Amino acid sequence: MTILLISALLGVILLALEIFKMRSLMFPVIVLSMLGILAGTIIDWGISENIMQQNMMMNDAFALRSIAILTILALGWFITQRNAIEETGNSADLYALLAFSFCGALLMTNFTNMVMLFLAIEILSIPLYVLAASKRGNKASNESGFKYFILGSTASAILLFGITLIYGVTGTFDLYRIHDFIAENSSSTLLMAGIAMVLVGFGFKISAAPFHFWAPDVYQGAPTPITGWMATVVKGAAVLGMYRLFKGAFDGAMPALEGIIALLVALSLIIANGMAAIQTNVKRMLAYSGISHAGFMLASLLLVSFDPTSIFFYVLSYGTASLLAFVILYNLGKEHDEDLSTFHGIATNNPMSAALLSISLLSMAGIPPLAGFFGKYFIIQGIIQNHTWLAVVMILTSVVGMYYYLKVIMAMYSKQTSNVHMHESNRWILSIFAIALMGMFVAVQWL
Amino acid sequence: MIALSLFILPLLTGLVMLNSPSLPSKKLASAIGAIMTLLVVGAWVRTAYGVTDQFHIGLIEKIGFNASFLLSGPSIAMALLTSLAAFLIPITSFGKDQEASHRFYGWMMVMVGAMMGAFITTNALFFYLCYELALIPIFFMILKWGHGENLTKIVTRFFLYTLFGSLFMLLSMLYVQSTMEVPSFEMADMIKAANALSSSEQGWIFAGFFIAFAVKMPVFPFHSWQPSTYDRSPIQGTMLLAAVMLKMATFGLAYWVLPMVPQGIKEHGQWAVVLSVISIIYASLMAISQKRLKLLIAYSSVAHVGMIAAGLLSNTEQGTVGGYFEMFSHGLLAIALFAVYTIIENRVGHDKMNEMGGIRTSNPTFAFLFFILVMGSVALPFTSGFVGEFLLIQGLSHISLLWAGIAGLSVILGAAYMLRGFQKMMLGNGNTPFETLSISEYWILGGLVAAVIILGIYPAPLLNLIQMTF
Repeated sequence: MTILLISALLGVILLALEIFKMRSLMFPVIVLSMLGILAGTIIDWGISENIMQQNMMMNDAFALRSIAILTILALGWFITQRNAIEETGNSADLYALLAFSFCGALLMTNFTNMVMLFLAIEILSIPLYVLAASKRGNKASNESGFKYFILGSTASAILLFGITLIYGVTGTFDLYRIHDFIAENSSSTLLMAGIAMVLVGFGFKISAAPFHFWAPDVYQGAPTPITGWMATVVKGAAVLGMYRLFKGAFDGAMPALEGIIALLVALSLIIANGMAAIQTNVKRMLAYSGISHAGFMLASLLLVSFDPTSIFFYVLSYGTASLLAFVILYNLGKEHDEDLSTFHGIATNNPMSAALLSISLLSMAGIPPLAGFFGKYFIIQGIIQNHTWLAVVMILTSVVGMYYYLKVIMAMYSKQTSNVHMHESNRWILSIFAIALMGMFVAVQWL
Repeated sequence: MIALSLFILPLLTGLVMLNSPSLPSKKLASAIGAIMTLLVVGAWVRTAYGVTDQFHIGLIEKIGFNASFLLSGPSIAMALLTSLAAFLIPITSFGKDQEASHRFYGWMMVMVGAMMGAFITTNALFFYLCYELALIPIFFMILKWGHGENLTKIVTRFFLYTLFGSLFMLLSMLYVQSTMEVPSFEMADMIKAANALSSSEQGWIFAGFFIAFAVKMPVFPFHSWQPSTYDRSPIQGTMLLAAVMLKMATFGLAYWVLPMVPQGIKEHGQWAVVLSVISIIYASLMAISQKRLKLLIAYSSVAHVGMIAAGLLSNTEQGTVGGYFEMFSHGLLAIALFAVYTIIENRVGHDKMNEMGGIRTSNPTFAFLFFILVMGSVALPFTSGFVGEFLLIQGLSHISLLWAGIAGLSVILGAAYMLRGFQKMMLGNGNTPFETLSISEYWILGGLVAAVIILGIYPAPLLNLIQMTF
C-alpha cells in the first residue's frame, strides 16, 4: 500500500512544490520517493501471503519484482535526464506528468481486476501524449504527440472493447474468476474474440508488428529524453502488464493463441530488423530496434511455465541499454542531428560517450557476455522446444540486428575527422549502467 | 588456481591497459605473456605428479552456466600456444609500433584472455561466450589500426559472418540442453545427453556446430571473409587470428563436438570431410597464384586448417592427436612466418614477391632460418609440421583412402607454393637491399626455428601431453 501511496502522491506533491515556488526540491523529492518505493519492495520481497487490496490489486512476488525493476529504471532515467528536464524551463509540469505516468506504470504490474488494468493503461498513457508534444515550438514533436494520441486512444478503445466482451461472457472483471471461468468452460468464440482484442490493444501499446506504425514517427519526433522514457519504463510496464494478464488470467486460453502470438513475434522481428537496417537516422533506427525487442518480449508469452525470470531480465537489460543509448543520443542531439553521418569519427573527441554507446548497442545486439545476450538467451531457450522455427527466425534476425548496431559503432570509430564535441555529463552514473550491462547476468538468481 | 589466473590475468591486464596510456604497454603485454607461459608450464609439470588443475564456480546455476576450468592435456597444449602468442606477438613488431599502443595491446590482452577461457573451460556456454568475446577486441583492432580502403566493409563482413556462424552453435547447444532433465552445460552432461540422441539428430547438431567452426577456421565455402581480413588487419592482429583464434574452432571440433556426436559425424557428417578436403585443394591452388607474401601465408593457413578439420573428422585416435599437434605446430609456424613477413616488410617496404630477389646473397642467415620455416610449413620430416600432418593423413586414411590421397596432395602443392615464394624472394638475380637483422630479431626467429625442429625430432612430450585426458 505504501508503494502505491508514494507513487500516487508524488505527482501531486510535485505540483504543490511548484505552487509554493520550491522547484529546487523537486528532484530530491523524486529521488527520495523512488528510494522509498524500492525500500518498500525490499521489505516485502520475501512475502509468503499476498494481501489483496480492495479486490483491485495485489502486491505479489511478480508485482514486487516488476515494481523494483521499473523503479530502478525510472530512477536511472530521472538522474541522467535531470538536466534535460530542467533546461526546458517548465520542469514542474514535466516532472509531474512523468510522475503520474510512473504511477500508471506501477499499477500495470499489480492489478487483479480488468478495470484497474484499463485505468493503469490510461494513467500511463495520457501524460505521455502531452510529454511527446512537450517541445512546443517543434513541428515534429507536435506531430508525434498528436499521432501518439490518436493511435493510442484507438488502441485503448480496442482494449476496452475486448474487456467488455470478456465481461459479457464471464460476467466479471476479476482476474481470478476469469481464470477459473476459462479453466472450467470450453472457450466460446466471443471470449476468444475479447482476448484477441485485448492482445491487439497491448500489441499497440508495446509496438509489436503489425501494430507498430506509430512507433518510428513518435519515437523520432518526441524529445529524446521522452523517447528514452517510452522505450524503458513505458514499454517495460506494458510488457509486464501483458505478461501478468496473459500468463495469469488467460492462461487457459493460451494454447489457442500461441500460433497468433508466434506469428506476431516473427512479424515484429522480420519487419523491425529489416526496416532498421535501412535507416539513416539513429533515433529512428532505435525505434525500429525497439519494435524488434518488443517482439522478443512478446515471445515470452510462449514460455511453458509462468516463471517470469526471463521477461524480468529482458525488461531490465533492454531498459538499461536503451536508457544509456538515449542519454548519449540526447547529449549529441543538443547541437547536432541524429543522422548517421554525424556519428562519423566522434570517438576521437568523445571517447567516453562512444564507448558507452558501443556497450549499450552491443548489449542490444546480443553480444555475449553483455546483458542483452542473456535476455535473448533465456527467451530462446524457453521456446526452442515447442517453437523451433521461431527460435531460428530469432537467431537469423539477430544477425541483421547486429549489422545495424555495428553500423553505428563503426561510424563512431571510423578514421574520419569530426568536430563534434559532446557535453559528457553524468559520467559516473552512465559508467555504472555500462558495468551493470556487463555483469547483469549474475542478477538472474535474485529475480 | 592456475587455470583461473590464466583466464583472469590477461583480461584484467587488458582492461587496465585500455585505460592507462602511461603504461609501457608493449613490454607489459609481453611480460604477462611470459608469466602465463610459466604458469602453463607449471601446470604441465604438475600433471606429471597426477595433479589436475580445476576450478569451478556457479554463475547462473539455474541454467547450468558455470565458470568451470579444467587443465586437461589438450587444454594445456592450447593454453601454452596462447601464452606463447601473448609473449611473442608484442615483441615481433620489431620496433615499429602502433599509435595509441596502450589501447592496441589492451585489446590484444582482452582477446588473449577470452581465447584462453575458450581453451580451458569445461562449460559449453562459457566456451561459447569466450568464443564470441574474442571477436570484439579483434573487431576494434582491425577497425582502428587496420589499413587500406573499404576497411569498415571488410570488418563488418568479418564480424557478421563469424557471429552468424556461431549462432548456429548456440542453437545446437540449446537443443542438446533442452533434452536434459536438469539443465546443464557441463561437458560430461553435454556429452551424455548428446550421445543419447538419435544419429540424425546428432547429424543436425553436428551441422550447427560445424557451420560455426567452418566460418571461423575457415573452410570452403565459408572462407570469403578471411583473405581480405588477414590482409588489412595490423600484423599482430593477423598473427592472433591465424595462430590462435582459428584454433578455437578446430579445438572446439576436437574437444567438444567429436565426443558429443560421434554417431552423427559418422553417418551424417561426411559432407564436412568433403568440404574440408575441397578447402585444402582450393586454398593451395589460390596460394600458388598469390603475388604477395601476406596473402600467400593467409591461404596456406586455410589449407593447413582444412587438413586439421579433415583429419579430426575421421574421429580416429591418430586424427585427433594429430589434429591437436598440428594446431600447436601451425600456431608456432604462423607466428614465425608472419614475423618473417614483418622483417621483410620493414626492410623492403612492401611484400610483393615478384619485385624482390636475391636476399639470400645479402643475408644468408635470415634466408636459412626462413627456409627451415618453409620446410616446417611444407611438413618435411624432422619438422613439427610433419608429425601433425602425418598423423592427420593417417587418421583420414581410416575412413577413406581416396580422401587421404587427395589431402596428401596438399603436401606437394604446399611445397610448390612455399618454395616458389621462397625462391622468388630469397634466390634469383635481383639484389633487393636488405639490412642485417637485429639481435632480437635473430633471437626470436631462431627460437621459433629451434622449436619447430625440436618438436619435429622429439615430439613425444607434446604427444603424451595431448593424449592425457581425464
